Amino acid sequence: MKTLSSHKIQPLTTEIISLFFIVLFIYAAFSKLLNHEVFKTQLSQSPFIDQIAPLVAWGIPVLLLCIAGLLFFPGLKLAGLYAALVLMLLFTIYIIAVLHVATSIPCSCNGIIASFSWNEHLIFNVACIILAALGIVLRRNNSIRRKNNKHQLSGYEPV
Amino acid sequence: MKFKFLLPVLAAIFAIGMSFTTLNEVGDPNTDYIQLEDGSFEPIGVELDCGEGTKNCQVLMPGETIPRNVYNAPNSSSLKKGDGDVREL
Repeated sequence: MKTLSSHKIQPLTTEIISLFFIVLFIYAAFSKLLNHEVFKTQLSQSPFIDQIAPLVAWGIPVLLLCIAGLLFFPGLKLAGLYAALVLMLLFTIYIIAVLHVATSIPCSCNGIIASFSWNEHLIFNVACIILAALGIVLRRNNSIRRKNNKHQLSGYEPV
Repeated sequence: MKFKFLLPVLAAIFAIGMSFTTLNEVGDPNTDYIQLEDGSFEPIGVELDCGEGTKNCQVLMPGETIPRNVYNAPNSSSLKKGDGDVREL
């Protein structure tokens, strides 16, 4: 029976991680765009960002769609994974701030998945950060390996 | 190469479809909800401050003796959490 070697598993894992973020970001963006007025009201009730709620209400879905778009193209996948990592880090910092600094804790329904509580969002975000970081490491390893292979092939002289 | 581009497209279509299926689960952010005996959800007209915590937020409706769980949206997965104290309307 054939087994998958690590040089085949690594790109496959990166592809699966990219697909996960594509589904997550497009789902979140469309959910927010389809309920745009509700999302804007939820943001206006959220601490720290209530003053810029209209801007954030458009900015977040557009940003999510742009990052998902980057993940479509093999050449831009690494940039997409970096962007996903930064975005998830920002969301996580916001959740920690809401839970520990804000005077009143608002409804968590404006998060990436509406039915999650703040703590569930926090756990989910940390898992996403780990996934994005893993995707970046694997993608970079794969690129380095491919470069090395190219160099080896270009230095090959037939007898 | 085509397969590598087709797979994200299929994932995107799946995600868009999924966002439409959860469209009705989002409630009015200016009100909380309670579940009635027949399983339906009714807005209570106010957004309750349930405090901080992981206990179920409960409200005592006028004329009732048993508190009801409070929901953020008209669906059973949006149970509101708080300090566990029963609020009165």
